[in-house]
Amino acid sequence: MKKILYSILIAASLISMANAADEKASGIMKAVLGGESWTSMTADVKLVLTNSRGEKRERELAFYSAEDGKGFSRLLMRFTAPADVKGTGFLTLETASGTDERYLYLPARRRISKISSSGGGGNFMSSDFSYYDIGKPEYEDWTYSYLGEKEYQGHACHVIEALPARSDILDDTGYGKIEYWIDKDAMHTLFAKYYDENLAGLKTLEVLDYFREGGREFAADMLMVNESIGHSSRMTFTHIKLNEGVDDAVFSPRFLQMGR
Amino acid sequence: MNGVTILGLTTLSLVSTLLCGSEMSLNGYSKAYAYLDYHSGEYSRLGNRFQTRFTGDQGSHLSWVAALNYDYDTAADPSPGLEIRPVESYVNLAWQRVDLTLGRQFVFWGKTSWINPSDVINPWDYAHISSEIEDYRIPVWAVNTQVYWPQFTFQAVVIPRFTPDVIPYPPLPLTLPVTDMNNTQLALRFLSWIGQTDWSLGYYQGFNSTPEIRFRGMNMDLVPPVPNLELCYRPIHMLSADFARSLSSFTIKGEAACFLTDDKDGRDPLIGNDRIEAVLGLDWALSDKLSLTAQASGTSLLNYDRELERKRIEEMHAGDYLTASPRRTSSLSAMVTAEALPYTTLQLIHVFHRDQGDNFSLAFLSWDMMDGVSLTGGLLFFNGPASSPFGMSRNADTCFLEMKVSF
Repeated sequence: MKKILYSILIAASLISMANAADEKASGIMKAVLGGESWTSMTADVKLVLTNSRGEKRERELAFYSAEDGKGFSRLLMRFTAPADVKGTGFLTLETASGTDERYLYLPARRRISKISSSGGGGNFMSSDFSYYDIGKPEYEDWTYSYLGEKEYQGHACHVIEALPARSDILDDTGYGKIEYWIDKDAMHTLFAKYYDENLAGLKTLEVLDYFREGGREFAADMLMVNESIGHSSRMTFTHIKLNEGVDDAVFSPRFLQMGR
Repeated sequence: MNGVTILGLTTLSLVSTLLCGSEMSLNGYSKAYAYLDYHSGEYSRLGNRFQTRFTGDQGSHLSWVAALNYDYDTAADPSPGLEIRPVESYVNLAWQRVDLTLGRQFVFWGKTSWINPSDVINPWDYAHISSEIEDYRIPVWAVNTQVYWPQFTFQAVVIPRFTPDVIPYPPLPLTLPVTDMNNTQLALRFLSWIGQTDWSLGYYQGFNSTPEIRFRGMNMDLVPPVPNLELCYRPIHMLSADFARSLSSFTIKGEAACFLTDDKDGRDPLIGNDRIEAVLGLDWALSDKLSLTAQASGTSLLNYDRELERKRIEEMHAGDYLTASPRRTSSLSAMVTAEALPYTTLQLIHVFHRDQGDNFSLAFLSWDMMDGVSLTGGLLFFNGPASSPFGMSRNADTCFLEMKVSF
């Protein structure tokens, strides 16, 4: 009888500790993701892709993002370099149904095409970043557990495990788990590990620099490495303008094809 | 003359840039190409193209494009030497809700991915099929107005001068429609959406860009008498509708066009019958590196009696030039696009006519060698009975290689 009582007490205390750890993790992630954020942004983006042989390709893009009046995100990107892809544009509009509307303009075809998403998050412009990675993550999409404290490049970090809160998040992102290394002082992500739906390691993210303005923060220099295929992508944002508004007309097929 | 026009526009751009402080940029490419006739072992095209593309703008209301090709094809027989051809040259005026584009331009219609029945404004250049649309489609001089409202877009295109397809013709005299107000082509389109379904309705009044035969009586001086025939371009009206809807990793697309000709009762074998062309397609993004497009298309002739058509052709002694087509034809096509290796794209396109049993295949591999430099190699195959559309071109099987440096 005593044994059973002890077991129940130990189990209850473990559950209580786990709940406390989860609450701590959730609190940290709420602070990281729920802080003062941006509703619109324009920037120039440089994307450097490096394959397993060390061959590099550089892409430059104009980037426009803003929420519509209903809180749905809209994103338009247009290549500005190199010359052979200049003018290629991509427009994505988040909808209430959960399926994004996506349009592609290829100057070589002189035509706008409605395109489907490839599922699993879809890679951004053949890079190692998914469209989800470059968007603004929602706190509610994940459940959090506290894994402990570790040091990352001299910074004391909270290590937090995020699991998809719903099956559609798993379907949409392709991530079965993400581990975040959160700088204890700055309270932002320094490093992250992404796992696929079978919890096999997928890729790692290193945030090299943040852009700060008026209490808002934005990961402006990121390196994503996919070790399984030896490919990496570095994305650097410059000329960032946060919350200065973007004309609604930008997020339209008309503006998309102006890259001609 | 067109080259002179372009050079004039380019000069105007440069002058206005200097005088008005507007922004202008020069882009373009140099492309070395080799097209080898698979059967004869001879080059059908071998040379280099240099393209200059001036773009500029004056504030947010005025922009212009002037693109010119300088082609030197050593395989052309007879050799025209250096050919200077305009690609596009237009001025765009933009206001809050209106775009007005004036000049030589591409205006492509239709939402389906590969076969577009409603895409009738720009003629085809069947002698220059390649991986680039500006090679095998011909820009037209047009006034193109687009009016934007929050829920819809309206487009009106006026094309004053008729431009025909470039196609191997039978050795017959050819008559082009005269350029006058009565022969001005008009295209109207209304685009909108319902929920997540984009759709549009279109109307085109103009000419069939593929020539048809005109009967000019019998030549009784010859024994036996032979018909006097010539090629001409018949008037057509087209009504079209299309849609596209995305469902996760699928996009369903459809397009239909109804062509109305001068053969009102369907009894004249020299004039194409009224017909409906329709396409239903599915784009499937299997992954970021692999996508599939499948399409089923069909054509149905209206007011058509095949036996009667045969009899009329016999009566006209025009059997060498005309055949009585089947009432309904259909085709299946598929396109696979894959990133086979890093920076390498493979595209396979296959079209199969179910009724005629002929088919067409295009495969090409494009390697992004470095930023702005690409190498593309491809194969083009036609197959089928000699009388079928693709079978007629079965001696035109080609393999090609292109190296392109963009700047």
